Amino acid sequence: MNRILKLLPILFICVILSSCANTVKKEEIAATATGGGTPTVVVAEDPDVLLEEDIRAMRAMVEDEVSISAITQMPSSPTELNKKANEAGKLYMVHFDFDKYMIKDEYKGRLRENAKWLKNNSTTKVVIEGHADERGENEYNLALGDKRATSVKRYLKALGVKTSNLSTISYGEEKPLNEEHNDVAWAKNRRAEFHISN
Amino acid sequence: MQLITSAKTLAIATVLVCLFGGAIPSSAKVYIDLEAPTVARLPIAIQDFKYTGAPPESAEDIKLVEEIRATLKKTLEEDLDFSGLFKVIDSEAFLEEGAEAGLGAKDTNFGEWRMIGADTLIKGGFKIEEKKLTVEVRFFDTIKEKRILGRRYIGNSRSPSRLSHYFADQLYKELTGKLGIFSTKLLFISNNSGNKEVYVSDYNGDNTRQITHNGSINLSPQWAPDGKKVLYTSYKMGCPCLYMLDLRSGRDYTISNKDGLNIGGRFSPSGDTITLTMSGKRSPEIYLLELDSKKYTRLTNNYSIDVSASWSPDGQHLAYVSDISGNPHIFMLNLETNRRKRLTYSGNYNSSPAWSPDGKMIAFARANSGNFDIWAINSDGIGGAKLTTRGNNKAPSWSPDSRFIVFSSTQKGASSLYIIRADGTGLRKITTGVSNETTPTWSPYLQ
Repeated sequence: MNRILKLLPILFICVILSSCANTVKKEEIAATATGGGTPTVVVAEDPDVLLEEDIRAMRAMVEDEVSISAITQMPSSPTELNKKANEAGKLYMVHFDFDKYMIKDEYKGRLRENAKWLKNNSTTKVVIEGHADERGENEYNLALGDKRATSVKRYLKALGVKTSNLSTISYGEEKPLNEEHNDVAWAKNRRAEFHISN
Repeated sequence: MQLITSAKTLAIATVLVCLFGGAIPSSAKVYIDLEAPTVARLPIAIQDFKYTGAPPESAEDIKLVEEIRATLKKTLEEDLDFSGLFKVIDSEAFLEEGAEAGLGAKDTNFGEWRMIGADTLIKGGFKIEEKKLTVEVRFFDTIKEKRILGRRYIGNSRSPSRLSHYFADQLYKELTGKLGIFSTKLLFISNNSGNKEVYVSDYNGDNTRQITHNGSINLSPQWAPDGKKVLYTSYKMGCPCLYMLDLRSGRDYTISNKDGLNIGGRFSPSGDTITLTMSGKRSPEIYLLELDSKKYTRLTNNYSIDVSASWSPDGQHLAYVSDISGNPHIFMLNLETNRRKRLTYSGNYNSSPAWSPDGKMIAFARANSGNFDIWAINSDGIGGAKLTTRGNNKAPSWSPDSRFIVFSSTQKGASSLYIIRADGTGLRKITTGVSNETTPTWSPYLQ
């Protein structure tokens, strides 16, 4: 049983890679933009098709063991769910580096735990909120929060979580957890949070 | 000439304008050449305004007269000083009493004004009838002993500063040949009420008024080119969505509420199209949205952040922020050829580009590490000057004459508005009466 589970993600990746090859078209950006390496970007025709970055992320995940725990009892009300989820530490927050939206290695374990919980509570609707620290510019931070929330959603999708019940919203720098103006506060505020919405 | 006005419409813009005693010939002397490399400030004296109406009866009326008298003069002094073209002479030095002297050239002892160094002089009178405020203002050349400009304005007695702004605009135009910016306004965000709401004020921070009251998060207010509508992002319906508020009717319209982001809306110079950033299932990308047809056109397409697009005044280009090269930098997109050009290479973080209304410059905020400064580069990407030296300075926006930039500056967590000249001189704080102001945008010339 365990061996099959280990193989599953590899099979999944193979399927995705072969299907992407057909549906994803490559586009050269006609940019005179230089200084950041070759600006070749893979563009998904279908927004649900995974981008190159997703595929890379998933390759990395194949090396991670994904185990699925037994299905637990579903609590009834959203508040109760939220409470239980938080008590049990099932829906962890993750944090990001300044101006970055890739999932850090140290938070991948947390997201695997979240993935387990989400699979076990597959009818629960969850909102992933993306946040930024107060440095930088307002609109850019809204976009950054959007990228962070989306990164997390994609990571969970790669872990096999159904995304039909996952939505994302960015609050940029507008909802800090810590209102102080220092490195500790900023590190805390650069985050993606999970909220149960049904 | 008959002037019929109602108190209700007065608040908006009334005015008129009568030129006493014949028009000034168009070949009038240009007193101030804005193109000159350095402009010596023209010394000016502004006499106390003389009350010419029926004597005030109640203590309340007396107070009103004195308040209006003070506001008329203070506003003119501030406008003329702000212009950078005048040196306002301290009224302590005046030899002639404002309350006594007549307003005509014949009633004026020009020698006394020349003696205190006042090459130019403003005299004014006002009267109040019900809520109607009538102001007469005259501008004299004390050396030629001649009136250069005379105007009569009628407005609402609740907003006397408006009439002083109008006169300052007229005077500026008379002396420089260019439109003045003294009747322009600012939009900005403040959390004074406990939530981030949209506010409007005069260009100098006076007459501040809250214009959204939804108790949610409101961001990035932007003027329509006609100055009558405001585009802004709000979470009032739960999403970061784009709305338009009609300042005259108070009606509010939903402009874009697609999945994901609907932020950073800016009107095109023609006003029929907006640019905005949307994400949906994609990375945040820049779009155009035609307001009539509701047709969206995507302009960028990559895995990076693309945000904060600013129109060139000819409507042909957008300057925007992208992190496609690893950090946020300013790029320019030609809307006809769809070609992109990178404009900035320095700094770890370049944001909020703002194209000057004359098309020559792009202002933006740049940080290397830590604090941001306001920079301006030529719109071809060449050159570049840092305009600010202290504080954490963001969100520049140009005055419609391209001579000034308003921006927000944060110190110890509290943000305020500042205005600086495009050459980096003349920094001044703007007092709006509300706290923690951010993301100011300067209006176009208002009718």
